[in-house]
Amino acid sequence: MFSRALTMLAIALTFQVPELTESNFAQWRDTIRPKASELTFEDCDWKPTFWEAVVQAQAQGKPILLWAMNGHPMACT
Amino acid sequence: MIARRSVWSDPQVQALLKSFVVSADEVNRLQSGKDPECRLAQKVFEQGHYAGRTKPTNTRQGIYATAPSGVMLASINANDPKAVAGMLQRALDKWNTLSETERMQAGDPSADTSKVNRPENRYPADGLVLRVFSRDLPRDKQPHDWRADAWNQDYAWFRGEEARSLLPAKLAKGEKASAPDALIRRLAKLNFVDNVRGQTTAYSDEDIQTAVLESEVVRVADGIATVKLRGATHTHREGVWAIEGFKDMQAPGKHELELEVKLFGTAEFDTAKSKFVSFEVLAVGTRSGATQYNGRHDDVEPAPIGFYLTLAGDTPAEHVAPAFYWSYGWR
Repeated sequence: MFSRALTMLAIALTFQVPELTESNFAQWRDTIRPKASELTFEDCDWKPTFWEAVVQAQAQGKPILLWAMNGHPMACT
Repeated sequence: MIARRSVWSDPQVQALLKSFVVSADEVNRLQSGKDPECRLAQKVFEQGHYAGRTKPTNTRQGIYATAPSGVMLASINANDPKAVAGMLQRALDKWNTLSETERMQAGDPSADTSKVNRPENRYPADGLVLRVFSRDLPRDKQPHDWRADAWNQDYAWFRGEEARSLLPAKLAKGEKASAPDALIRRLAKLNFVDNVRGQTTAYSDEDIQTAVLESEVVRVADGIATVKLRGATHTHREGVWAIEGFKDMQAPGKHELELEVKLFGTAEFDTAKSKFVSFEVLAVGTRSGATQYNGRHDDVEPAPIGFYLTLAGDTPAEHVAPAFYWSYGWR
């Protein structure tokens, strides 16, 4: 119990979790939501599956670039 | 995740990519599946930088350039744009040495598309698809590197009937409802996780201490019901696992993992189309602990975290399945 109280005190001293309200909603949304400059990786014409790229590359006579990660790079990686 | 900002926004890399058909995909399914897509990916992977590797893991993640035939052009696993640009140029140089027969498949691969078994085949077009962003909230102790403004994203899928069940049965002003336990618990387990710096693990049902989401219709006009959403989730787990990537995986320690958030937001529902037309919910609270690959081994003390849930767009990239799709149990 005492250790939990100490932890809560430490939290209060280093940060405060905001209480969400109508008036501060936009501020916190804009803090969390990525800015346009953080989404420039989406400017590439990513096919979200390897197979779509294979089909298109075969049709267009082009090579394929595959970015394969643990967790889909367009979702959570 | 670092590659999102360091590699793909680089002008030289973007210029070289114009010569390729570019794709992004999840490596675990590709390297272990048995359908035509996975088989071709495995052919490529086994000519690449991690070919045959089993330790410290068998992952084949990285960046690969290949001909449609599966002939490897070049590969790398790097976050340095210059290194990636060099790899792309080597790939194009090799491509230019290949004959048409070497480059292309003998048949039309589109004939095998129906054999490709992907979770995206179950995209809930008639339901609700949320894009879920996560980020650390301001605090005194922030690292002075990429981690200071790290963010991540994932998706949350709801089938049509699931989406509708988030709201009161009768869409009239003042009506209230609690979301079905299974749906808010799914969000708590699979979306309200600390993935800000990288992949993490999902929570399980036993880890949930609180999971509630309540809705109240505050306005109905022109066929649109406006609904306020409020809720809370709290998950906690303790056990033995690694928290430093490969470093401690042979001798994992005892750890705790916890995440507690309050939810607040608004959604609009088109009553004629039975479809959400807007959805904005924030979830803010506290996280603590670390998992093997989420980059928190030196940041396990309680700290603030936030999530923003909004309607996903309709681009192909926004049809990608949630990271923990396989926990949905959808058939």
